[in-house]
Amino acid sequence: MAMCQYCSNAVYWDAGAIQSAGQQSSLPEGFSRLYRGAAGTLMQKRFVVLGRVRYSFGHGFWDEWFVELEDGAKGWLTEDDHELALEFPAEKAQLPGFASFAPGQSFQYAQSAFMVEEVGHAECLGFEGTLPIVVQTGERYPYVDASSPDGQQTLGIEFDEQVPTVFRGRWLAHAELRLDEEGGEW
Amino acid sequence: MSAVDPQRFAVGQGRSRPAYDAKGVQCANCGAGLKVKDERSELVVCPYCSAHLELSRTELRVLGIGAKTDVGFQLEIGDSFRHQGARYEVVARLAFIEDGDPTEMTRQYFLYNPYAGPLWLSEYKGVFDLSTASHVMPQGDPFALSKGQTLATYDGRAWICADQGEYELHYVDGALPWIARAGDRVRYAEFVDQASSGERYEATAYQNEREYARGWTLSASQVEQATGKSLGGGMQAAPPVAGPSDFDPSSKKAAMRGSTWLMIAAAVVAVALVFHFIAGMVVKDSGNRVTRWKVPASSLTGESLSEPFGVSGGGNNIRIELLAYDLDNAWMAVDAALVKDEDKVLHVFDRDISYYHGVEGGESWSEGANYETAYVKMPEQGTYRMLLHGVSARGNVETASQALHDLTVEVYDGVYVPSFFRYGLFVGGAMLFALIWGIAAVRKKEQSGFQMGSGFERGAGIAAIAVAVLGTGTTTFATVAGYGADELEHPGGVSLRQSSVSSGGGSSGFFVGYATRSHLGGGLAGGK
Repeated sequence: MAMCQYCSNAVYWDAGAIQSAGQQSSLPEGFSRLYRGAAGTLMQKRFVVLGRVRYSFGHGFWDEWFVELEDGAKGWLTEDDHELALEFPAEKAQLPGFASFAPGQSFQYAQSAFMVEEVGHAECLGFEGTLPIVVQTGERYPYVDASSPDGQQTLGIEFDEQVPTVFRGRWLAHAELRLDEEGGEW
Repeated sequence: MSAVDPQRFAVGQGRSRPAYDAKGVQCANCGAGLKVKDERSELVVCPYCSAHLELSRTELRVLGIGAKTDVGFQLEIGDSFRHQGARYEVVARLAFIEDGDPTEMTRQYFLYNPYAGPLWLSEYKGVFDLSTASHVMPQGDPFALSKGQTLATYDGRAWICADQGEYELHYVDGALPWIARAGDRVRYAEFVDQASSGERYEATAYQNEREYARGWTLSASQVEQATGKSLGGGMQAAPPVAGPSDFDPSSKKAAMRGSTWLMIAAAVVAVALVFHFIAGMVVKDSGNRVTRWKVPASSLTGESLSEPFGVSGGGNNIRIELLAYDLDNAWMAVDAALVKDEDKVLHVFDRDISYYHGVEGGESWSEGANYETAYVKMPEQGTYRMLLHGVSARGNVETASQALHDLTVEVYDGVYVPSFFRYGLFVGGAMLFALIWGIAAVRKKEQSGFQMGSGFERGAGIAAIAVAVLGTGTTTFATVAGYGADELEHPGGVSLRQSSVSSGGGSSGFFVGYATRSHLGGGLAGGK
């Protein structure tokens, strides 16, 4: 999916044809270290930021930056209150229902232990750039965010389908990401 | 993975960074123009009319009018706080009280930088703490612990509960990323590092969320340096702390802090190793040669007494080098004695010299050397001689009763024994290896997430530095003081004539009992 940076109309490829997703709300820029079109180095690999989706959790929001690495890998840099995590799609697994999760709860995924940090409902506030998925402003889904107990790994569960979508990754230290153009004095 | 065009990822191919510009809003109560620095702000307090405004997506909504209260903040909205080379700005301030007691007030400042994570600066009774979010989970419920009890976290750290209780929000201004109201209650639990690093671990529970943070106490001068403001009275001297340069989850410098001590220790140990190597090389050749005596094989089989040589001072060490230059795939057993005044045997020693080499499986090998060394401490200045006897054999012959090889003896006076420096090289090498391994392990751990330097790494580093410095001092002292040489076996002297005996086979002499010597193991049979 891609959004025109000039007219904010979104289009996507479906059934062999370009489809229009309509006018989308534009997202503000300049308030983050990341931005659409940024290039830099992440864990010793070059990467570019292709797009962004912004989600609201009711009393705040976070951004999901779609990135492509030089080895062809594509993933998501989740930015929540300036904290960054790099996540990749993980294997879908049978997990308890959304209602079973609560903050502070422990559970297992792929033989690893995780603790729930947050449960809520996400609402898409807008997007920009090029994305690997089709999203619509306003669409909602329940989610669970968890971290490994040692604070290293992240797990994001999106209850958007019958079998939830899982993203697995890890928290990044500020120094692990270097942009070609870092923000200076502001 | 599909092939990608590397040019897309080349440095400089990215888009230019969009400029930062604060969001302009208008107070819904008084109409004042406000600048909101953080786009995540949900609550803005108008500095003109004290209206609490909710920043929804569509419009500002007045939640209420806050009371204008002087709660003694030492920093103003808009004040700068420099940390790790980045400028943060105070965008919100909160004041909490406990048990309804205004004297038990904690003041918090929300520090914002658009490119780095937010920081929290707290002040309680004049002591400032700086903290940031952590995802490291506690083992167990931190709110169930009392002061003095221990909490473990899943990163292997242990913490002592310093305080816990419940705050009530007394005052708020500025712009916050959530809606905060006076009267909101927050449970808190604060812990200090059991390893006494000065680091703190904090847990807060607010509404349905639990959050964790790591922090450091700042000294008065650190806060003043960071803010550029003189904060005046009321500030207390905080306990010794690491400076802001040691605390920054967003900087590589802080990410290295845990390994910094180990790296410093490794550098000190490396310098000590170089010193030991050079000193050992210098000491190995120390002293003045006082005699050089070539003993032909035929004389060695019997007993030979050298020409006299002098020892210049009481307490001097001498180095006796036994050099069998033509020993090649052969061995030699040497018995030697130091003789004073023609007849007094003061010291007896022996050395086995063997040198073998060959080629096996296409690879060359060698074993041993064609020389040996002895160090002896001479208590008196004077004139001495050496009495020598030796036997040798070639190849794998295990016993010999005569010498087949010549022997050259060199004696050096006033030498230092290099063995302490050699021991230091061995110990230092092992320490350096362990430190390098430790640095790699700690840095790998640090780069995978926010990790402050732990007391263990600091302690290990300090211990290694102490061992390196004290060890170097000890080896140097021991060497310079003349330790390491053999003490005389017979300081009172044994009569050479009286001790010489005759064997049943007609041989006589001091070493007659050593006429036949054996050399077992090694050699060509031992091979590589």
